[in-house]
Amino acid sequence: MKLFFSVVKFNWLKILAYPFEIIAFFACRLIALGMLALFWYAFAQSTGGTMDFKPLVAYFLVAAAIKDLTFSTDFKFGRYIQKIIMQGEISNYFIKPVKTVPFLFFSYAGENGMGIVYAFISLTIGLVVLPPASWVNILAFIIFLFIALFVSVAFNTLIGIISFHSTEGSGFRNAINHVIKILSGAIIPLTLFPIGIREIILLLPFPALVFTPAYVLQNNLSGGEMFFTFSVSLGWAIVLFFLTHYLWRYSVKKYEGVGI
Amino acid sequence: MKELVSKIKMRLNILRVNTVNTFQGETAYFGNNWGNILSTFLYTVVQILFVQVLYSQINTFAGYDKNQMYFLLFVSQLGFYTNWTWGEVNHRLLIEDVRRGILDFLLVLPVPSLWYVTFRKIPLLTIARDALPNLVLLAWLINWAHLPLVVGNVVLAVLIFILGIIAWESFCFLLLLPVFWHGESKQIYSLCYVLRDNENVPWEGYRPVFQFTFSVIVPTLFMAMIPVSVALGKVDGWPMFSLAVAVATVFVILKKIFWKIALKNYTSAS
Repeated sequence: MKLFFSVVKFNWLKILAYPFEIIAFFACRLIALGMLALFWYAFAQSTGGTMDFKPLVAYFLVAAAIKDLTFSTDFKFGRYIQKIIMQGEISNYFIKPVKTVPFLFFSYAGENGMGIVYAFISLTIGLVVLPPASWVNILAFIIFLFIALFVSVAFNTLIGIISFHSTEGSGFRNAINHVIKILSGAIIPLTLFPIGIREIILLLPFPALVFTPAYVLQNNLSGGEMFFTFSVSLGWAIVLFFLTHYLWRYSVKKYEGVGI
Repeated sequence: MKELVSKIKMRLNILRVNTVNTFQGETAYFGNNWGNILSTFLYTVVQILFVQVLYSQINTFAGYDKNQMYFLLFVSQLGFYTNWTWGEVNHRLLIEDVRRGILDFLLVLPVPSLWYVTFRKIPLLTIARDALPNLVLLAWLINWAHLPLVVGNVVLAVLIFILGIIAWESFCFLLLLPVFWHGESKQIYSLCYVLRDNENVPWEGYRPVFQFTFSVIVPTLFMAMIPVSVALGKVDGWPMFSLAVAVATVFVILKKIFWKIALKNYTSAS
């Protein structure tokens, strides 16, 4: 673990070399948040007051924080793995005496330190706008956040694995990203979906990425609902973990590197 | 006069050569195109689903019914693909060339440098591959007979759209120029994606201060929202056209001025 934290620190220091890029990063995120607020304000106005603007904004603030904390924003970790594989740099990681995927994960985490800082800011503002009802909500949120992290890393790794088998990884990655974005609740809360469709989507692994942690933080669920949601999310996290593990080992066996 | 004709001929020749060259590159590995077709198709499907879900909760959004919202989406996508496949591709190339210090290989060419870097790649196949199927799908969803389109308004809207593309490309070009000073500008350039990412809010959904900001200072609304509003007759076309001409002119001039300043600061690796 000490090695992994050193990797995080090293990659974090690299991004400090470009201070204007850091400023631009935060400007991008704040402007994106502003655009989102603008859109949902216009939407809330269009409902004639039946829908409150505050919970919508709070939802998206928390959702943005979850996406950054779990690295599910556009599956950039998956893109990072794809780039390393396509350029043949993965060979350098295979010869190191460390587990490759955790090493890559901590490298990426270091390079995205700014995203983590922004996530805490966004989460704090979201909690101020719509405070959770009780400590139970906060505890449930933390548990579901960890599950979201596992699910996100699994999806990112699966996306990265595409590059072991195809020279064109970006198109398929983007295709998967578009589908997951809407099914995870990242661009529209699942509570706005028609009830039948919502029930089906909630059985899939995608809501565990964004919607579920945000929903348990901001709503009071009954014991039964909480148990069901937890079972589905945890079940998918376990399935995806084993699937990713198997596919990674299978793909690495097929991999051919060029001259180290 | 002769010199002007010669300059125009040279620029047209650059366009022709770059178009052919880009086409050859795009068709070299044709299999790579299938992933992108799937990606852009799914993006359009997701956008359509988004509109469907929204309108299951409301009847109109900023005064736009579902059909008009599809029309807005259609024009937004047209603007997006035009900008993405032409402007963004060349901007990314320029950022990389400056970062690696190899821009002087372009600067020594006996061609107008700004024109060349602006039109270095013209990916017509990418536009056809990515844009056409999705625009056809959106066009099929729109009930054109129910849109209050009038020829005069549509012509003005098309002109505003073209001027909007020019203004937006120039604005994004300005955002990439910090690479000449700081050695990196990917995040600064990312502001373009973020500022453009408001394609679902019609012109009427913005408050006056934002209408001003996102048309005069950051010319993003000229690519879709304003043309759509003009085409649907919701705003008067001629003042908007005049504004589009003024904004596009200013940004093109700024682009030329700052390009010259940036080149003076450029240091190559050779």
